[in-house]
Amino acid sequence: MGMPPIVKTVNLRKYYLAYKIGLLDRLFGKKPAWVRAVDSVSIEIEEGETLGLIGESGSGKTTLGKLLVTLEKPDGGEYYFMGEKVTEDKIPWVRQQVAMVFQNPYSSLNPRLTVKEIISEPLGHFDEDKVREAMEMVGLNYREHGNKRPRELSGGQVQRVAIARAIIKRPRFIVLDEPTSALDASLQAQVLNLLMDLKEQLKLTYLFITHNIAVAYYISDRVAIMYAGKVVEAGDVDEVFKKPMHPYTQLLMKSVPTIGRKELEPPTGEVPSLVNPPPGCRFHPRCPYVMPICREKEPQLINTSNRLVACWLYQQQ
Amino acid sequence: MPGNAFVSGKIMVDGVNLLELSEKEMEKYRGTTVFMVLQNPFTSLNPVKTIGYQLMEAARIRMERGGERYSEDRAYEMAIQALKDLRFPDPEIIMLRYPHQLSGGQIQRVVLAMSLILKPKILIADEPTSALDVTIQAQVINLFKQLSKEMETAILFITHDISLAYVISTRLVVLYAGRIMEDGDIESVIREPMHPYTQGLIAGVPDLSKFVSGKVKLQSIPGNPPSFLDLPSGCKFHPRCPYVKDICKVQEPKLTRVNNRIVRCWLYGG
Ligand SMILES: Nc1ncnc2c1ncn2[C@@H]1O[C@H](COP(=O)(O)OP(=O)(O)OP(=O)(O)O)[C@@H](O)[C@H]1O
Ligand code: SF4
Ligand code: SF4
Ligand SMILES: [Mg+2]
Repeated sequence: MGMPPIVKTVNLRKYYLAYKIGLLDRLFGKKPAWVRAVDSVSIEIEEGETLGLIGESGSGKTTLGKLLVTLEKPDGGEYYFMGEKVTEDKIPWVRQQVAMVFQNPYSSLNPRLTVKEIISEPLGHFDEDKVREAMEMVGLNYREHGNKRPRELSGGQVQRVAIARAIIKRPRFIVLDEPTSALDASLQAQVLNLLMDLKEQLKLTYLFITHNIAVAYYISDRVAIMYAGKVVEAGDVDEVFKKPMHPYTQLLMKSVPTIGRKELEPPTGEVPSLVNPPPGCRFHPRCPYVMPICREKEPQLINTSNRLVACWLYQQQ
Repeated sequence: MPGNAFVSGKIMVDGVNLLELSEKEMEKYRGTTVFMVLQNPFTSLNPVKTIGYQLMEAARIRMERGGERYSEDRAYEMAIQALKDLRFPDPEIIMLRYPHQLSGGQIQRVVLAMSLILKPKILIADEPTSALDVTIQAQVINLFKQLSKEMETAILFITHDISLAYVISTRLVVLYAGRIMEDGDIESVIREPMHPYTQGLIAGVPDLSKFVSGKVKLQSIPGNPPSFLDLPSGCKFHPRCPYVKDICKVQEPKLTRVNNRIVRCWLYGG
């Protein structure tokens, strides 16, 4: 038997309250409504790989990332980290080995702290050698940048600070939530190259959330596509991008802006509600191939020719 | 603008220099004449007011400027329609939420919805789709194109994504270290970038059409953008330029017209 996957979820769920319900509403019998941000997601991430996570805005990507680093508590399903089931008492152990980098470094880092304080914070105490080493690994200079505050640094440098902070405890697994989307193209390339180098050097595993298809292609080994709180397709990055199987993934590829094509053809139709998701396949109101069964029964994520797809086109009805 | 910022020159809108207006006169221009979608949309929303309150406030401003009497029903309708245009499912529920209860891309779309309601003459949008997935981005771009055509809104679209700039714009201006480096018709700048910085930018775009197996390193322009506190002498791009000449280090080139293009570089006469 091989190693267990470093991350494995089974029907993981996270529901948020859609809006606050006052006492009066409750007296009048108004029922709470839930946003199904992550709805029965089962994924596996192998040690050492980068899983790219792509999907529609509001489809639950950040929420899934937060669940995996235990910043949010699931409402249902199971989470296994390095083969161990994560229960309440295991959370401190998981937190020792995971980290998350957020999309907007200026708002996720404490603006009042200096760079070296920000980076050492996860350690719980200040350790100059470790901070110096982490800074060097991300291409920052301890003497030059250590005493600065985030607003005195450029966007690319601040994101390097966030990355140094993420690696200081030598985690095994890092969730990168759109880490380069606020950077200009030349810096984006530098930061992506840095992340690839660090991964190699520190033997890291990444969940890389992005909406930039080209970036996902560049950085991932495998990709998973999320739609309305569900994973609808997952597989090897080359195979998925060259031959997308799920109709949503196919439309996603057609919406990518490319030099030389002036008109974009995004999918039409309503974006699904996460409060009242459509019955059956959640993509059915917008799917060009919709069949009667799609409106009634939800397709499961199943393995077909080395690919996970949740679509009736590929399974027995 | 922060109190320690300093602007010189003129900002002309319809023949009026905005920098000469008093704060009170300027109020009339904010929102419906010029509206800015900031790169960090979080700061554009009030964290303690619901989305509905903030969108209806924009509708009120639009109605009053247009000489219409304010009607709450009409404002609610306008807000819901704008949320629908921005592909929000459950717009009624979004109206009840506070900013912290939305995802990154949803916040960005609320600010864009505000711009649709205000219908400004000039829309300045700084990376307005940076948090959106490509399908919604494509829909937003189509919406912007329509806004500029139907309402004759001029759009200044600030982005680092050249492919996106290509899709939305007719003219491209490339800035580096606060200076215009190149300015011209979008098709021609993309096909034949003249300035070395523009050339580097285009080479750094991860391009789907280059799908190749085996990972290659992305080309990136070596070095870092300069700090504004310590700008290099001469051409501001010279420490990173592969074509740097002696003159580049001592004297800054001026913007020069070359055919239908404007470029700031000694390679083209400076
Ligand atoms: N605190 C909250 N209360 C209520 N709903 C929430 C809360 N946080 C997130 N949501 C909702 O949960 C859903 C998923 O949000 P999430 O941030 O995971 O999306 P995402 O896929 O990361 O989107 P984006 O690409 O726009 O960042 C969204 O519909 C969002 O509005
Ligand atoms: S299950 Fe049906 S509706 Fe859903 S994606 Fe497949 S074909 Fe389309
Ligand atoms: S002026 Fe000189 S340094 Fe500047 S871009 Fe042109 S060739 Fe390069
Ligand atoms: Mg997100």
